[in-house]
Amino acid sequence: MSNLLQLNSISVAYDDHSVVEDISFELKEGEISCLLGPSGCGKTTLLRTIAGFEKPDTGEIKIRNQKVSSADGALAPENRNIGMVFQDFALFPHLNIEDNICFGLSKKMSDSDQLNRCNELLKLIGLPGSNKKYPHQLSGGQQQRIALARALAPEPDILLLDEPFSSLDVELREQLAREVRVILKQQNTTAILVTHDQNEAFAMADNIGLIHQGKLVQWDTPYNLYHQPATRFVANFIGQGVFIPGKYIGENKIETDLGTISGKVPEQCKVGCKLDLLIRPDDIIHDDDSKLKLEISERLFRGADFLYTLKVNNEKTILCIASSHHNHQLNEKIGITLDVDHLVMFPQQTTDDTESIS
Amino acid sequence: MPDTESLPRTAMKSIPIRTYLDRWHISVLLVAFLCAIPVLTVFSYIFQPAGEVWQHLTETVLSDYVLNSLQLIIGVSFGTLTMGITTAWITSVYKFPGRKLFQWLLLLPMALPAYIIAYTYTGMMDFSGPIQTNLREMFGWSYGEYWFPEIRSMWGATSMLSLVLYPYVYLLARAAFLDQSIVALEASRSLGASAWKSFFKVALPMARPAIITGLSLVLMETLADYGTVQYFGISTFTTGIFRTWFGLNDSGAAAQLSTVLLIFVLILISLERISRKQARFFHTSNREKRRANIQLSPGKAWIATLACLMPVLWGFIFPFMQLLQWAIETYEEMVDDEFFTLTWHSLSLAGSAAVLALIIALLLAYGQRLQNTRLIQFAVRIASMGYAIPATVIAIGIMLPLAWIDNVLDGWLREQFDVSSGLLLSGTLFALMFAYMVRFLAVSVGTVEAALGKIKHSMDDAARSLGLNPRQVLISIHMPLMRRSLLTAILLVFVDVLKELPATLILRPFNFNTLAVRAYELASDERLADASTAALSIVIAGIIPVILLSRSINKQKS
Repeated sequence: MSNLLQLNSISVAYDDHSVVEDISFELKEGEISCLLGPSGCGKTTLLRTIAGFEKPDTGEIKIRNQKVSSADGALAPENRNIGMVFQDFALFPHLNIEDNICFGLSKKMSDSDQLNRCNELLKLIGLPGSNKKYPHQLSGGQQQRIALARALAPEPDILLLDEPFSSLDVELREQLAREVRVILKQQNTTAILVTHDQNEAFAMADNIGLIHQGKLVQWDTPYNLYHQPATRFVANFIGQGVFIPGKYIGENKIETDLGTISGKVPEQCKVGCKLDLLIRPDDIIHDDDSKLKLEISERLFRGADFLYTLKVNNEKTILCIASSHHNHQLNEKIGITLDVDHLVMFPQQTTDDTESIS
Repeated sequence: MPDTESLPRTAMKSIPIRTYLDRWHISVLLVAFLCAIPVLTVFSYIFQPAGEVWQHLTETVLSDYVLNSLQLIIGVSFGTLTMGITTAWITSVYKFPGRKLFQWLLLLPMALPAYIIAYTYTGMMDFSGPIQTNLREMFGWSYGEYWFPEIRSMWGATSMLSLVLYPYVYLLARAAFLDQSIVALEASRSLGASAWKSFFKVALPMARPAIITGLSLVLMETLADYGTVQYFGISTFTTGIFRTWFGLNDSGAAAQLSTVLLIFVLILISLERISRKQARFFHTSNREKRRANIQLSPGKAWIATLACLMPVLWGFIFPFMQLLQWAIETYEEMVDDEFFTLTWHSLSLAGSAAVLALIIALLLAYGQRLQNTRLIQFAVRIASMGYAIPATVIAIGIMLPLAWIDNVLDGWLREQFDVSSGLLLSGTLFALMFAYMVRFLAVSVGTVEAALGKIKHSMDDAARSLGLNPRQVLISIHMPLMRRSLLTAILLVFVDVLKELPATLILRPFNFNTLAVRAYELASDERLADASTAALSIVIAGIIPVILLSRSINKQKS
C-alpha cells in the first residue's frame, strides 16, 4: 500500500527561532501514529504544519502523493481534506450537535444524506439521538466525542488530534483513548495524535515518533521505544529508569556495582571503556533469597505494589517494584536479582555529548 | 456518502498564502494611513513659517488659552476625582439604601453632552429661571438685593464638565475597588490602621492606575470640549481654533494652535500608557471571594445615600427635568418639518457612520487576528488613536488636505476643460463621515477586538479544517458569536455621532443641520427653551449606551 502522508525534511521557524528541524516520516493508510514529546518540543507546530496552518521553511509535505506544503507555499487548510480534533474541542457554541457534525459536509450533499451521515456517526460514538442538543449541555467526554464525529464526518484523508484528551479528567483519558482507537480502526482512518502523555500514546498509536527540541529522535513501535530507546533522552522520557555506571571487561561482560552483567556492548566500545546501563523497575526482581542485597532509601506504597528506591552506592539509586505483601521498612536491606533480557547501554556521558547514540 | 476523492482539491499554486497576507496588510495599513492624515496634516504646520496671525496670537491670547485650559484641567480633575472616587468607594464597599440602583444611576450623567447641560443650567440659574425665582419668592428679595453666582464663568464650566465626566473615574475606580481583595484591607485593619487610614494607604494606592486612566479620559474630553467653553465665553484652544479659522480666516495659524493642543493630548496619552503598564504590578493576583458589603449604621447609611444621590441629581435629574419642562412647553412649535429633517439628518448620518465604522473595525480586528504582525498591531493602534484627539483638530486636519485636493482638481479642470468641479470633497458629507471615522473608530475597534478576543483561535482552525476559507469563517462562525457586541459597537458609535458637535459644525455641508448643531445654535441665540426638544432627543438616545454599559458590568460580576 502506498504512503498516504509523506513528510520530507520539514523545518519550521518563528522569527529565526527554529521550532521543528528536519523531520521526515511516512504514514500508511489506516495507520495511527503519535507525536510524543515534552511541552514546547515542536510537536504541535509540526501537526499544524501538516494541517496547513503553518508553512514549512524547508522540505515538503505530500498527501496521497500530491504536494500540499513546501517552502514556496502551502495549500490552505480548508482545501486539503484533513480533519482535526482540538485540545479544547472547539465545538461551535451557537450550533447544535447536528449542525456541528454536518458543518464540514459538502454543500452538494442532500439534507437527508447529511442527516444520515450525522446519525451514523452519533451511533458510532455512542451518543445517538443527541442531534438537537447544544455543546454546553454535554459533558467534557461527550463533547470530545462530538468533536471527533465532526472531524470524521467529511471522511478526511487524515485525522489530526491535538492533545485531544488533555482537558479531560485523568480517569477518563485512557478509557477514551482506547475507545477512539477502536472507532478509528473501524473506519480505517489514518490519524496522527499529538500528546505529551506516554500512556495515551501507548493506548492509541501503532507507531510513535518521539520529538525532542524540534527533532525527531526515534520513530518506532511503543514496545521498541520502551525496550530499545535510541538515545538517553528517549530512555529517560519513556518509562522510569536509572542509569548506573559500568565498565566493559571484555567478552560482552560489564562490571557494575550490581555485579557483573552480560549484554551486547556497542561496537565502538573497547575493553575498559565506561558505559551507562539503563535499569528499569521491571528489570529488578525482588527476591528475599538473593545474595545481592541493597538498602531501602525510600518506599512508596501504591496499593497493588510497593515502589522501593534502593541504594546502589552513595550516589546512585535504582527502583524496584515489589508485590504488596513484601512490606519492608526504611533502611532495611532486601535481596534483588537482575532480569535484564535485553540490556540498554550508552557510552558514558561526557559533558558536551548529551545525545550520543548507542 | 460523499466520495472523498470527489471533494474539490485546488492545486497548490492557485492559493498562494502570500496573497492573503498582502491583501490584509494593505487594507489595514491603508485605513491606518487615512486615520493618521488629520494628525499628520496638523503636525506638518509646525514647519510652516509662523504668519502674522500666529504672531498676533502669541502676543495676545495664547497665554490665555494655555492658562484657561490649565485651570479647567485642574478644576475638572478635582471635581471628577472627588465625585468619582467617593461614589465608587461607597457603592463598592458599603451597604446602604438604594446601593443597587445607584450602581447604574451614577452613570446617567454620561448621557448628557456637556454643551447641553451647560445651557440647561444657564437657563435654570438665570434671573428668571426656577432657582432664582423660587429664592425671591421664599425670601421676598427683589432684583439687585442679593448676590447670585454667575454660571457663565470658569467655575461654571468646571462644574458642568465635572458633572458629566465624573462617571469615567467612577467606572474605572469602582472596577478597581471591586477587584481588590478584601484581605488586603483586612490585613491593614488588623495591623492597626483605621478604616480611613486603610482607604488612603491601601485601597486608594492600589486603585491608582485605574483612576489615572479614568482621569486621562476625562481630561481628553475636557480639552476636546468646544460647546461648553464657547457658550460660557471662556477662551481655550478649541474656541481659539474656531476663531482663528472662521474669524481670522487663517488656516495655518489654526493648525498651529491645534498642534499646541495636540501636545497637551500627547502628554495625557503617555500618562495613561504609563499608568496602564503599572496596573499589571498593582493587580492583586490572589483574589479572594468577595465578602458581603459592610453594613453601615442607619445615620451613616443615609449619608452614603445622599452622597450618591447628589451627583445623579445635579448631573442628570435636575437638568433632565428642566429640559423636559421646556420641551413640553415648546414642542408644538418646534416639532415641525424642519425638526423632522434635522432628525432624519442626524439619524441617517449617525446610522451610516455606525455601520461604516463597524465594517472598518471588522476589517482591522479580523486582519489583526489573521495576520498578527507588529506592523498590523501598530497600524490598528494608529487607526484607533482618534478617541484622544479633539474633534476640532480632526476637522481642521481633514479640511485642509481636502480643500487642497479640491482646489488643485478644480484648477486643473478649469485649465484643461474650462469646467469647474467646485467642492467635491471638502464641505460635503464625505468630509464629515471621514472625521467621524477618525474620531470614533476606536469605539468600534475596541468593542470588536474584545469580542473577537473571547473567541478561541481553535474555532477558526476547526472551521478551516472543515473546509471554510477565512471570509466564510468570519461570516458563519465569528459574526454569529459576536452578534451582541457588533450591535453594541453600532449603538455606541451611533450615539457618539448623534452627540458630536465641533467637527459637525466645521465640516457639515452648507445649510446641513443636525439635532446637535440646531440645539447648539438655538441655545447660542438664547432660545434655550426652543433648543430643548432637539437636546432632549439627544439625551434620550444617549441613555442607550449607559444601559448597555451597566448591563455589561452586571454580567461581568455574575
